[in-house]
Amino acid sequence: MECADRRDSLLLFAAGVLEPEEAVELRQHLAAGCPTCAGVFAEANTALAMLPLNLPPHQPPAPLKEKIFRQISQQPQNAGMKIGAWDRFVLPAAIAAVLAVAVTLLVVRQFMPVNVHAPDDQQKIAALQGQLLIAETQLSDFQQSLHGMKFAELTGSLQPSAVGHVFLDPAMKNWYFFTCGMKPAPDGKTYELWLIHGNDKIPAGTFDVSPSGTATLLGNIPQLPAGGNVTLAITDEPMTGSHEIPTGHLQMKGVVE
Amino acid sequence: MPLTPDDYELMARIERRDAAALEVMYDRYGGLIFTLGMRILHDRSEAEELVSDVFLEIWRASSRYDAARGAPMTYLVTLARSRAIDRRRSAGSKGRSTVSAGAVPETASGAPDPPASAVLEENAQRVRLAMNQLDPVFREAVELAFFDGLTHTEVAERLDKPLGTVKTYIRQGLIRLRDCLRKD
Repeated sequence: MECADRRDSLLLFAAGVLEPEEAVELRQHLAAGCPTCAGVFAEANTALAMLPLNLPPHQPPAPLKEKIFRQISQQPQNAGMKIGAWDRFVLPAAIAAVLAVAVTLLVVRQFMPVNVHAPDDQQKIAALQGQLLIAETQLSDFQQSLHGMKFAELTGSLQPSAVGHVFLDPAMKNWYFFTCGMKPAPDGKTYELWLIHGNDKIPAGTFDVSPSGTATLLGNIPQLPAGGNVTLAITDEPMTGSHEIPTGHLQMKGVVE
Repeated sequence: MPLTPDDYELMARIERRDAAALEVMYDRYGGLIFTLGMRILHDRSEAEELVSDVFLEIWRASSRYDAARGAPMTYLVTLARSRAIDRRRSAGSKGRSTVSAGAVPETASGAPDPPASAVLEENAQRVRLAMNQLDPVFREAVELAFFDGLTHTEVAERLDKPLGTVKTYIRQGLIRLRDCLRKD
């Protein structure tokens, strides 16, 4: 199908009236990054967003604004902040790299036969020992920074090739989630992460997975009553998330250790 | 009349946790979101909760907005419509109608941003003109699909028309509407 043939379908897709099976191809095409269709889709959304302007206008009561901004003023300053490239990619990679170097060097030191008499080998050993010392120091720093953090591994039968990890930092009141191997959300759906404590099911954010099946989220740990386990769960929900209670299928879950 | 500061700048400031920028956005679009909520939810308190949900969402997850995908107003309306339809489906507020869609406009009790009101009114005139150019049956089908979130089949049942006919109404209605808005 040519992009010109998709023009009207993109309008129907934007209006949410396309049949699910028809929407699949468009979703995939848009996800592939076609600039022409992205522009057409944006134009369709712009036209549709003007429709409410034709409605008889109503004004919300003045106290509503005060209520909303009171809630906002009570939220932590960093709520909703964008995850930086460093946090998202480099930090986990750095931890992995340090661990890899440390493990490799430990294996080298423990098991490799070494001719301590050759001057070249002695220099190599000294260099390796220097690297090992640096790696061990860095590892120790990371271990200290991880002190007090809690973890959860999320798995589920609907996502057999996926795994999710959540790190909770009670000191900073932050949690960080990343996953890999997840299938794209069903058509018209997105994924939503939930924090479950007792009977409370707290929406923690919606996310879509990248074409390679990865996704990340960062958020603030809400105030929870003391005691009891915290379970983390991922469900598929309507495009903007359920925000009230989980309504979709349980994709993965895990309990905070 | 261009808005100052423009919506894109406001969204960038909101992402930097500038609550004053969110307040300007609220003054510009709070009424529109509330109006959309009243149309979809037919319930004043539900519409108020919708407005609250949308602006808190904008604040908490401002980084989800991508300027490459559309203007901030488009994002706000798309988010609000989606949330409202979800809310209506999950809470069954459809049956708790307290205000009809065609109710008499109310007196403003907030403090709308005057320049924004002028821009919105100008756009409202364009939409009104475009909607008036639509065949009434096309318009009704489009409104049922867009504002009520009905599927083709549900619209067909509501209008008591064959499914194929309704698909044509919605398709043609939306295409003509888009083309009318573009010509202006």
